[in-house]
Amino acid sequence: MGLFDKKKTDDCVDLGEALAQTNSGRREVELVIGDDGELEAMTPAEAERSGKEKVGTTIGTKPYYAN
Amino acid sequence: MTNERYQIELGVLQNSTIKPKQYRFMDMNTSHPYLAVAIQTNSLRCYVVKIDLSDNYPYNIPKVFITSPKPLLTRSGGSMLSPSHSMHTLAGENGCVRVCHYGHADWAPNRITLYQIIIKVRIWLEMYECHLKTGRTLDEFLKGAAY
Repeated sequence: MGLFDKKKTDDCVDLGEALAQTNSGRREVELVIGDDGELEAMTPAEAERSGKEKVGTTIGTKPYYAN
Repeated sequence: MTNERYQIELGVLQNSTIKPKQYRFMDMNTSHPYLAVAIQTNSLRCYVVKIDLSDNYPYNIPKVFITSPKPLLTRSGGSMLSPSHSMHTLAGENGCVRVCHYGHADWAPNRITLYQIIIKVRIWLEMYECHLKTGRTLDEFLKGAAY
């Protein structure tokens, strides 16, 4: 409990809520290409609103190395 | 990085908590390959992390940068581009803060994967946000947390 200066166990509510959100799929982040060509990180909702190109990995469809 | 190692790294990531839409191996057939990862902290803030694979990864420790937001600043608005033991940073490049993760004493090419580096960076980011809230250095939060 000393690591984060926590005084009580219920000080960890925020972390518990974060974990619950993660497990329920309510917390997500993805890579997109920004207006300046640089990679940005945003939530799926933000990415949809922005209309920016999503560049996360599509497993199995992008051969990075030639066999 | 060899194709064999790449497949191992990809396999580890696919079986991890890191979702495919969060990361992408970039420029893999060039002399400057890197892994870009989107990381969200407990506060819901989003960051982009670049793990530089160009220097003979995994045999050398890869440089790790926070490329977005750029540049990261201290609570007082100061630069974090200089090496700092207390903030766990190394010399930044191109305006990006460089995170200190594994040291030479801890680095093991056959035991440590990119996933473990990502986890360390996630911890660094959480500590960074604690620094923003309190003004205390990252070192103070990490004291006693042997890893």
